[in-house]
Amino acid sequence: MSTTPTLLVLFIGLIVGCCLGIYEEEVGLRDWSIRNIGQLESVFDYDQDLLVQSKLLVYNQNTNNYTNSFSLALLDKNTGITKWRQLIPVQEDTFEQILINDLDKDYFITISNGNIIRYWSRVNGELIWNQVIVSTNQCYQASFVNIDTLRVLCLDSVVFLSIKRGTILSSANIDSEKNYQSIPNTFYLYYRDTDNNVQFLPINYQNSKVDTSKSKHSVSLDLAAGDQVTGHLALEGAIVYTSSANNIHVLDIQEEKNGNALNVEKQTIALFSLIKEQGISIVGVDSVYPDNRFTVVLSNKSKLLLEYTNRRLSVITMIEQHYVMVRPSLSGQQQQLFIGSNKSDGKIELALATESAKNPQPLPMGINTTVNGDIESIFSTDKQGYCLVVTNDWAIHMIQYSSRADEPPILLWTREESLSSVLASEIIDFPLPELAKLEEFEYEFNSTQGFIQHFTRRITTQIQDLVSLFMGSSTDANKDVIINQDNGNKQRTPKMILLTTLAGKVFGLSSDKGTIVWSRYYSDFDRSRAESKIFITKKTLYYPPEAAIVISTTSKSSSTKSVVSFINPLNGKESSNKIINHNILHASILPIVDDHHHQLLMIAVDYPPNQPSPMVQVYPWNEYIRHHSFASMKNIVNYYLVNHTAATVQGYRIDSMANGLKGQLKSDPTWKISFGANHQILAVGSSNAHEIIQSPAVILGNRNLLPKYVNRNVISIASLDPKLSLLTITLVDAVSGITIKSFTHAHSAAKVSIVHTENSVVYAHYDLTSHKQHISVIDMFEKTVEWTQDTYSSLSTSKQDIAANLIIKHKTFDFVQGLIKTMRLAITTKGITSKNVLVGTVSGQILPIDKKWINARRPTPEEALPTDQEEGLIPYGPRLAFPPFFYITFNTTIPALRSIETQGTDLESTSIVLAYGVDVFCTLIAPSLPYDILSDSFNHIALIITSIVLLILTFISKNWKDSLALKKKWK
Amino acid sequence: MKDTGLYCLVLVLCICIVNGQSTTATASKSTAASKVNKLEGKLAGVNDIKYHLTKVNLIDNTNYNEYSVIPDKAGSFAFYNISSGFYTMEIECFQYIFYQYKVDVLNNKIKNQIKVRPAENETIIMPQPLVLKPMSRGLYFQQHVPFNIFSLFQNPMVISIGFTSVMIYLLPKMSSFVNEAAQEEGMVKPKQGPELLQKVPDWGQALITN
Repeated sequence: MSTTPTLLVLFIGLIVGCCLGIYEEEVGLRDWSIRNIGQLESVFDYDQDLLVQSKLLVYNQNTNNYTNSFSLALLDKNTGITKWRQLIPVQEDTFEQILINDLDKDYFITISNGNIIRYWSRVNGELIWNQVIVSTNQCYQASFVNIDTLRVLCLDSVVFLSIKRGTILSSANIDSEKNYQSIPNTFYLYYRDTDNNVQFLPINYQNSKVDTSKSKHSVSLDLAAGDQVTGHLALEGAIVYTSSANNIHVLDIQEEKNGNALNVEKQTIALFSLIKEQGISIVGVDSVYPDNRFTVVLSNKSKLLLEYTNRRLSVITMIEQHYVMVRPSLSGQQQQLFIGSNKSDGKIELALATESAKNPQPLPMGINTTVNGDIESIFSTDKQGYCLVVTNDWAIHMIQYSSRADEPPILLWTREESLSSVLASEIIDFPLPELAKLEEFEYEFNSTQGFIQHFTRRITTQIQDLVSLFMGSSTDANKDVIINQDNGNKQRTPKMILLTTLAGKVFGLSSDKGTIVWSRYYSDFDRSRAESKIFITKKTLYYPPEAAIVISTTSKSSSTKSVVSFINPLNGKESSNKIINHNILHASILPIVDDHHHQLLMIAVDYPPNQPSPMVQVYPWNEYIRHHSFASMKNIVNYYLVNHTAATVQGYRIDSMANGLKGQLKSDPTWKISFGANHQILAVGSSNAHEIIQSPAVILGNRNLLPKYVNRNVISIASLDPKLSLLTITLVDAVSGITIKSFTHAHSAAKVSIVHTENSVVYAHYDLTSHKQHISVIDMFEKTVEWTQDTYSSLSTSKQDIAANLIIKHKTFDFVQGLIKTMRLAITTKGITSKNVLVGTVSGQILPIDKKWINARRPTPEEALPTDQEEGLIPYGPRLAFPPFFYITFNTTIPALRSIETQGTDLESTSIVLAYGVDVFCTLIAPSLPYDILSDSFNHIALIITSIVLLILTFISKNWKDSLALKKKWK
Repeated sequence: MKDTGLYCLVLVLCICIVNGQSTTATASKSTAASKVNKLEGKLAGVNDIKYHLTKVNLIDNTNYNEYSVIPDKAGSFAFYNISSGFYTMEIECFQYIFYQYKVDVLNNKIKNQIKVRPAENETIIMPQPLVLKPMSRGLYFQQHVPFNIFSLFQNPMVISIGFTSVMIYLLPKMSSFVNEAAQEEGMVKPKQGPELLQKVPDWGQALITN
C-alpha cells in the first residue's frame, strides 16, 4: 500500500487553512473606513511627515447644533495617509496653540480649552503628560524658557511647568486687564497702557522660583492727538505698532548682555515713505512670518508685506486684495510665502509673494472653484516648494510648486475632509449585469406590464446578454463610471454610496473600497441651517438613474431658500434643479411612478406661511402625472409633521390641486396629537421603506399561525415629561391618527432611539434610577386575519377594531454593553434573512442583535412550554450581553457616531452597512451567516484535493475489489 | 471736632469695607481653584496596553453628553470640574475590555462627593484615586489555534476521505460475502434448473499437460 503515506500528507494538507471565523489579518477585506482629520488649521513639517492640527464640527443631537472639536494627526508627506490621529476631547471647544519643542522635535505642546496643557510625542501621538491649570481657563500662549521649563501665559497669571513631568513649578499673578503678550526669545512680557506707553514686565523662572526682580521698562509711543493704535505684533527683537495716522512704530528691543535690563529704541515710519500709493490707510497688522517679515492690512483690503532687519523696515511687496496669503508657520519654521487667487474662469492660481513678477501658476486639473470652491488658505511646509492648499469644500491639496513657467504645479494628494461632517446618505445600485436585471424584471413583473411586453423584454435582455458576452462589454453600462476594482474586492456587485456633507459637497463613493467616484460642490449651501436629504427618484434598473438632492441654500433676502438638484447618482452630473423659496416642512418619496419610471418626490412647504394647510409640491410634474397619477394621490397620500416646540404631531392629507400647471397641491390637516407644553418629543420612529416583509405570520410550535400586525403606517412617538422623567411611547396610525397603544417608563433619560421592523417596535431608553440602558420591544399580532386580503388599509380600520383584534406584547431588556446612541434595522434584499437590529453605542461601536433576542414573546423560564421550544423561542432573561467579536466595527470605533445606513446586496444573506460620524465606515454583514455564498475562509484547495483523493480511492477500491474477486475465483 | 471725628469714623469704615472686599475677592479666587472637583484614576494591571489609543469616557446619563480624557503614558487620567449628576464611565480600548462604572457627582464643589461604583456591583464604592484593571483581553477576532492532530478528525473533508478509505477495506469484504452467497446460490441453482447442454469442465479434476 504505497498510497498510505501520500494520503497522510494529503490529510495534513487539508487541515491547513480550514477555519470558520475572521482573523485579525482579514480586517479590511470586507470593510473599509475613511479616517478624517477635519478642517486644517496649522501644519508643521518634518522631513517625511506633516504634523497637522485641524478643527472638526461634531453634531450634538441634544442641541441640534455643531460644536467645535479639534484633532491632531501625523500625515505621510508623500501620500497624505494618516500615521496617527488624536482627537482632542470633545468637551474642549477651544484650541489655543500648538508649539513644537525646538530642542527636541519629537515632542510638542498643545493648549486647549484655555487651561489644559498637554505634552505629546510626535512619533506615535502618545500623551506624555497633561496639566490642567484649574485656577483659570484663559491661557493662550506657551513658550519654552529653557530645556526643562515651559512658560504658559494666561490672562491673569504666568505659570511655569516642568517639561519632563508636567508639574507646575511656580506661578505669578498678573493683571488680567492688561492682556500681556510675550516677546519671542525673551522672558519679557509687554502691554500698552491707556496713555499709549508700552510697558515691559520681566517674568523669569530661575532657581526654582519666579524672578521678577529685573528692571521694568516703559516706552511711550508718542502718538499725536487723535491718533490711535490699530494693531500690534511681536517680531524677534522688535514690537510693531500701527496707528490710524498711517504710522508704523517699531520698538527695537535689545537685552543687555547680563540680561538685567532692556534697551528699547523707537522708530516711527510713515506709511507713505514706504509706498507710493496715496489715499489708502493702515487698518491693522496681520501675520508674522519667518525672517521678521510681517503683513500690514490696508484700507483697500490689500496687504503690505514688510521686513524688519538690521533695524531697518523695508517693503517686500504689495499683495492685492484678491490674493490669499500663506498662513504663518508654527514655531518660526522656514516657509515660502505663497499667495493664491481664484480666477474668473474657475482656475486657482498659485504664486510666490516675494517674486517681483509673481508669475502665477494655475493648479492642476481637478482643482478649481467649480469642484472645490474658492481657495480658503495656504500652508507652506518648507523651503522646497511643497504647500497645502485648502479650498472652501474643506479639501486639502498637497502641491509641489515650482516657480519655473515650464514646470507646472504637481498635485501629490488630496484629502476630502468634508467627509468628517456627513449630513445624509443613500445607497444605490451600480448598473446591473444583464442577468441580474432580468431577475429584477421578473420580480417586478406582476406590478408593471403585460405578458407580451414582459416576454419581449426578457428575450431582448437575453440577446443583449449574449451580445455583451461576445463583445466583451455590457451594452448599456454607464461609461462614465470608473471604478478601481482591484483583486481585493470582495463585493460581487458594489454599490454607489451618496453622501451629502456640511461643507456643501456631495460625494459618490464606491462601496467596495470607499473610492470617491465623483463629487459635486454646492457653493451656496447654507451651512448654518445644514439641511440636506437624498432621495433616489429613479432606480438604476431603468438607466439612467436619478437622485434628488434637497439642500438649504443661502439667500440674500431673509426668506429661507432651498434647491432640489436632480443628478445622475452614478456620475454626479446635474440634469435639472428646482428652487424652492419657502421653508421646507417635509420631503419624501411617493410610491407612484410616472411613465419614465421616475418616483414622485413630494415636498411640503410652509406656504402660505404659518397657515394650517401647507402646500405640497410634486416633482416631476407633467401631463402624465396630472392625468394619471393625481387621482392616486388625492385623499390617499398622507404625511405628518412634528412640531418639537409645541410638542404636537399633526397629520395631513393631500386634498385638492392648487395649481395644476406647477404641480402644487393643497393638503389639509386630518388629525393632531398634543403631548402638552411641558413635554418634549424626543424621537419619532417609522417603518423603513427599504424593508421587505416576507412572512405575514409566525408559525407557532403547535403548527398554528399567529398573524403579524403589519401596518407600515404605524409611527412611534417618544415623548418625555422632564419634570417627572416620564417617558411615553405612543403608537399611532399616521394615516387615521388612531392611537394604537402607549407605554410609559418612569425615571427615563432624555435619549431614545427607535427602530421599526415588520410588526415590532424596538426602542432604547435609559433608566435613571437603576442606571441601566434598556432595550424595549413591542410586538403586535392580530387575533384573526382575513387571509385573502393582500393589502392593509388604515382608512377602513376603526379604533374599536384595533383594540378588539390586536395582541400586543412588550418586554424590556438590560443592555450591558454601553449606552446606545443610535439604532438601525439591517436590511436584506428579499427580507428572508432573520432580522437584525444594529445598535450604535456612544463609544462608536456597532453591534448587530438578532431580533430573536429582543422578542417580546420570549417566555419566562417558568412559563416556557414545549411548543415554545419547538418554535425556537429563547427563554426570557433580562440581560442582553454579547461577546466582543460580535461587533462589526471589531476593535475600532467611529468617533461621534451619528447615523447608520443599511441596504441589501445581490446576496440575500448579506447587507451593506454604512456608518458615519467623524469617520466613514462601511462593511458587509451576514446576519444569519453567509448561507448563500462560500465564506472567504473556505478552503477551495482542500475541496479540490478531497475530490481528487476520493476519485483516486474510487479507482483503487474498484481495482482492489476486482483483484479480490479474481483471487476468490482462483481459490 | 465732632464732624471731624465722624468723618474719620466713616473713612475708617470705608477703608475696612474696601479691604474686606479685596480680601474676600482674593479668598474667593483662591478657593475657586480648590473647589474644582476632580476624579483621578489610573489604568493598571497590564503592561502592554497602548494608552495613547485608549480613552476614558464619562457620559452624562441624562443627555448622553460625552466627556473624555486621554490617559498619559503612565495610564493616569483625571476629570476636572464635573457638574453634578449621574454618569457612566467607559474605557475605550482596542486591546482590553474594561468594566463599566457608575459615577455619581452629588456636589460639584466638594471632591469627596464623587462616588464611583462598578456597574456590575453597585454596592461597592471604589476608593479614589481609582485603579482600574481590565476585565479581559478584547477578543474581537478569532484566535489562531495551534495545530492539533486530533483536529484532523474534525475536518469534514478528512472525515469523508477517511470514511471512503475505510469503506474501501470493508466493501470488498462485504461484496465477497455477497459473492460467496451468490456462488452458493449458483451451485444450487443448476440442480434445480434444467441442465446445460455444454458443461464447464471441473477444474479440480482437470489434467493439465504440456
